[in-house]
Amino acid sequence: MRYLTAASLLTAIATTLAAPAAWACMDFEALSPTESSQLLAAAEKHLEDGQPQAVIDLLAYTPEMSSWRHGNKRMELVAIASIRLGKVDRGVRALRALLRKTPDDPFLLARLAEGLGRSKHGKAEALAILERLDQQDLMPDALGYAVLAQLLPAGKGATQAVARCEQRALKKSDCTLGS
Amino acid sequence: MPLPHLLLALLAVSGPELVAQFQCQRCHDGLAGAPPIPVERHCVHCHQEIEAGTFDAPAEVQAGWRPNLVSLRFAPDLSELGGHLRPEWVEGFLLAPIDLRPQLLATMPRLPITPPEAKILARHLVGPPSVEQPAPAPSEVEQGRVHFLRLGCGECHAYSGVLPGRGPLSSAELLSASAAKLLAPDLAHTRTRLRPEALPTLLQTPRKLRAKALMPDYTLSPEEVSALVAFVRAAPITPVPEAPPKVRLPLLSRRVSFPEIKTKIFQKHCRHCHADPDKAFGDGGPGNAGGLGYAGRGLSLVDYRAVQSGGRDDQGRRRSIFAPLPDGTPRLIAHLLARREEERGRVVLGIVGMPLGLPSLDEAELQLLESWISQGRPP
Repeated sequence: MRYLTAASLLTAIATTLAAPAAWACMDFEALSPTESSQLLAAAEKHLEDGQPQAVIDLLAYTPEMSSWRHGNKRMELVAIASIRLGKVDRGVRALRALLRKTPDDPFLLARLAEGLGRSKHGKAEALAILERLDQQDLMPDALGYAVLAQLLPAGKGATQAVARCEQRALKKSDCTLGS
Repeated sequence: MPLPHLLLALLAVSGPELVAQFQCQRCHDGLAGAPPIPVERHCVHCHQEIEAGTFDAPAEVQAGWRPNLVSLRFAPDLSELGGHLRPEWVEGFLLAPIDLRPQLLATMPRLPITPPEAKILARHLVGPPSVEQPAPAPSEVEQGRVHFLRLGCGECHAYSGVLPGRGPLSSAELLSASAAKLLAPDLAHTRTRLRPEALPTLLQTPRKLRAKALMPDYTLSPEEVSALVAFVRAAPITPVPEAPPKVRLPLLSRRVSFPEIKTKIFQKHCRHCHADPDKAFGDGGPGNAGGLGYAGRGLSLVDYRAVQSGGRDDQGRRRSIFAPLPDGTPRLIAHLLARREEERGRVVLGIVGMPLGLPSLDEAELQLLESWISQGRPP
């Protein structure tokens, strides 16, 4: 019996070592760390290129990520893509869940404000978030300033927000009000 | 009970606890009882594995890293220090690290260590205070100089203020130099650093004192040993003129973008300690997750988003690394300038010099970074 157990164990180890990159864990299949990283990098690129649907297509139906960090990153990318595809409530809910773990993450806060800015009742909260990030010099990117400029009433600092956006943007057109 | 001893008793912290707190084993081997550190968090083991091609990363990735492996290829082994180091010197070194090994790019990092902690750690590493010995005769000192030059000790050792230095090694030399050469200490510190009673053995039969000693065995005669000991203990040291300070160059008029800053500054100097655990091996490094006695600052410098998102202050609140200090200097620049001061033997209170324990940025690099900041940190 002891030899049988040892043989089973060895077989299990050999099977695991010989397995393809995806990891089998109990009843779940999970991606290896390298696969997860590559997938997330590709999805992040789609988001930067303005292709939120491609992010959903890539990440929505893949197996579990190998680590909670990668899982969180997937949740973040899907949430932002959802907001940009008009599924604002879903995206905002996911970002709020992520912010419970890191409540002061400037990037997540800026994306939450982006989502809230597109919602019916979230504009005041969005404005407060972005004004705070601006005051603390923690605005993570040009988009944060572009959203701030859109939310600010005319003559109340919107021009300044556009100017800051243009400093941080690759293209000035990214900062055009109403874009 | 004298006040220092009372403080030590009140602290009730042990040497092994301090070793764990300051993560000495992150760079050094030979610390008995210290918990092992995984290779991806051990600066030297990680670099050595990459050099040997045995690190757990694709071969082509390691090949890309290898030409950059100029620092932290070696660090001193800390086993059996008690036989030859003076605890008084170790204590001072822990509190205010100096450039002990001129050919090594890295220096001992400045740690957030208090004087009582330094005393406890020094005693733990090297034992009780040393015994003073009478000064050697001047004639023996001169004889020692002759032997020193004949034996070529200066091939590895600097002796600042006594013999002319050989200048820093080139990058190619740094990549190929042996551990013995890179770790050879500047002998100007020997008279305060080593126990005088240990010097003869250290010269004659180094491995009798320390199994892992790197000093070659020259099979010296007792007379040669005595003269060399006299030379390193008592040769008159002339104060070495201070190197001219690095200047701050005027801001560049051309546009500086983040990809240039990322490649030339953050990837080169910062990313090992301020990494993103999502995108790298390890835990994000001591500058992100905490380590070497420092609290986690949550600061990643791997991409634009992370750099703009800042780090945490002493109270754990997020703050910008570009926010100006009272004198108007952006915080990041203040840390980089503080490292220049540390290299000149001056500590800036409240600002830890960066890169921690590594050479300060050169003038062109600082100019580039300051220009980018002044341009509004474009992407």
